[in-house]
Amino acid sequence: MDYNDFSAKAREYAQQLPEESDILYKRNFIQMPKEHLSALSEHGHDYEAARNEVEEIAKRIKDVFNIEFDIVVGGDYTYSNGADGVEITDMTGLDGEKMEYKKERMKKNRFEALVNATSKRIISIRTRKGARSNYNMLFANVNPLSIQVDIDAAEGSEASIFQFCCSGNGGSVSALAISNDITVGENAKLDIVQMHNENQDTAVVNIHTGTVRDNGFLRQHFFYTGGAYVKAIGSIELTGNSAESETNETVLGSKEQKIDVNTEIINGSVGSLASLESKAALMDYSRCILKGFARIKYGAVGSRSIVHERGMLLDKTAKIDSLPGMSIAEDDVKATHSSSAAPIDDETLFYLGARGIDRKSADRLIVDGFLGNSIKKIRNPSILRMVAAIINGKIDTRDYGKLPAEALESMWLIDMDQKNEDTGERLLQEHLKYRKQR
Amino acid sequence: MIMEIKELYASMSEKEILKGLNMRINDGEFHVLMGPNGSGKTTLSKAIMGYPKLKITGGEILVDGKSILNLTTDERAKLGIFLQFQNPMEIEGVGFVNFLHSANSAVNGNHADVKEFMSEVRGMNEKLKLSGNIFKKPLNHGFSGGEKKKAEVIQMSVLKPKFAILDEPDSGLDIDAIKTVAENVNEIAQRNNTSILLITHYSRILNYMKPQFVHVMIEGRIVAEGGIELIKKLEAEGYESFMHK
Repeated sequence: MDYNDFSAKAREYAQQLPEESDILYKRNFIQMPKEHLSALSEHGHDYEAARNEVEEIAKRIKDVFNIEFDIVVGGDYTYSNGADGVEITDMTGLDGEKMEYKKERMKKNRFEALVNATSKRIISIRTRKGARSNYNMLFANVNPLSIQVDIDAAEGSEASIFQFCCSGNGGSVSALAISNDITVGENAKLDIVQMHNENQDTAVVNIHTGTVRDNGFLRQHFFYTGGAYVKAIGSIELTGNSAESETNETVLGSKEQKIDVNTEIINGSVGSLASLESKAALMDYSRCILKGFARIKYGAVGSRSIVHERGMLLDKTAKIDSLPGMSIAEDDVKATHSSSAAPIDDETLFYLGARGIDRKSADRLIVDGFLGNSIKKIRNPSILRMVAAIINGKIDTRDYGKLPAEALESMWLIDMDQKNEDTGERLLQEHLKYRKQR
Repeated sequence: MIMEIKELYASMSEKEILKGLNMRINDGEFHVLMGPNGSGKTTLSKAIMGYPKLKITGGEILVDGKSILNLTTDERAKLGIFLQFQNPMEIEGVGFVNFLHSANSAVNGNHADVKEFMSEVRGMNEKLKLSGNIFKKPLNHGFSGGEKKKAEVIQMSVLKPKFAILDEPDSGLDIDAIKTVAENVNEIAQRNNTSILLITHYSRILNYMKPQFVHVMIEGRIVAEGGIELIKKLEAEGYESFMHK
């Protein structure tokens, strides 16, 4: 069977899977438009045009934010600077092993099956034992893009990964689908920042699944600002004793964006600690569904699990559904979950108004405050600056999918915080200390 | 700045609170407004600041002869009107310094140099005998009662208002803190030639501040006006003697 036959059958199979498989959420999900997802299987794109466009994006980001990408993917174009541990495998020449790999991963849900059916490449990142490494990745759907990333943080290693997902010039129905398959080894630390800033022609599928072994630590930050439709499905299992995971999800919606974030954290081992903090600030007619679920397995004695979901509505026409859930099969555990959603308080606006701050600036200040702690957890100053610039730009313009031309004026605040030792790292340490105390 | 309030009527949730109130505060003058609980003092301060839930049903508020009733709250602040809140809002996540800088940019129209700006703020912080902790906290979040009141004074200092309403700046403060707040407000007002309307229940703060005019407010109207001697009468007789005037 050649790749095209396999892909066609695999897509057909994917379509048969339910869009939302969990009975809890049968009525709460964003329906992804078929025409966007079908675009993922389009072929015959102009390689050189894709290359020029994606290289231009990478250059602009480097010029403005001084972020250099190790891996750049757009359409059929893929570039790697040969960073240690990176391997790119072409999946179109299907051999038995590759086919089995894909088949195995297609069992989980429609969207993961779809990514496997349509992705032609797998990017593997394997850190070396005990080593420190850093990878910046750019994914641009200059043409519809489906990509799989395998990340394996070896024992005792420390790695930071930044994934920036964006669009090219746009203008036609498109999609960007990404699947991260993560393994954090014993005593390893892995920090992933993923930013989505796709344009309004794009539907986004983001899958992230992973396991964390003994004393391993996985920290993930997801920033969803772009894409007309977003479907995010995550599942992180702590399989090793005293393993930790911290997942932060930040949503900033505007216009008619529809964003569905479905994340499961699983304590599967003794003394493990899993936390999920999801925040959504919504403007205009945007809609967001936050579905954070904590699962504590039998035998996960002394484990802790935290799920917090918070929503802020800047306009009466915006809508949020916050649906935290838990399933606990062990007695000796600590588990908390909370959910809140509210419009911006009139008294708050009056107070800020009394200090000369108009509604637009007040929105920006309040949303900055609401999302600020999530942004400040980014440890790389250049990435922090870029994420903050995109978020501030979106609050100001309510537009999305465009690259920020420059770091915005409000960035001085973050700079100042850093000069005053009020760094993201310190805030994170305080956060972790606070969590441990609880 | 000349603040003139003429026959002001205002209601909230269909309840009339201000009932034909008159007051005039000239440039650089210091007035005190006293009255029993529920007489409408805080409502008056909100009416001047343009509280959106308050419905002005009659009368005028004039600044230098021009009506401000059609201005939004932030536009009034940009004119130079400042309200020190009795209960400052806690705003989670919004850093105090970030907020101060935004307010300064909005009101004074300049993006102050970070070092100069921080130097001014730190100077005020020291004068008010505050710890540096409030710089690291979200706005009014986790502040003690005294810190909240003093943080309002820092805002007044940064914004350099032409007219300031101080709504019970002494409530919840210990004796030393009252003195500190009063001395700093005096200094800021003198520096900027700020007219002041001080709302208070107690005369203790007046040991450190020297108002020229006193107004007594009962049930939404000014029932008595005079000099500092009016406070002595109030202390001796209470509000009872001013009722039904």
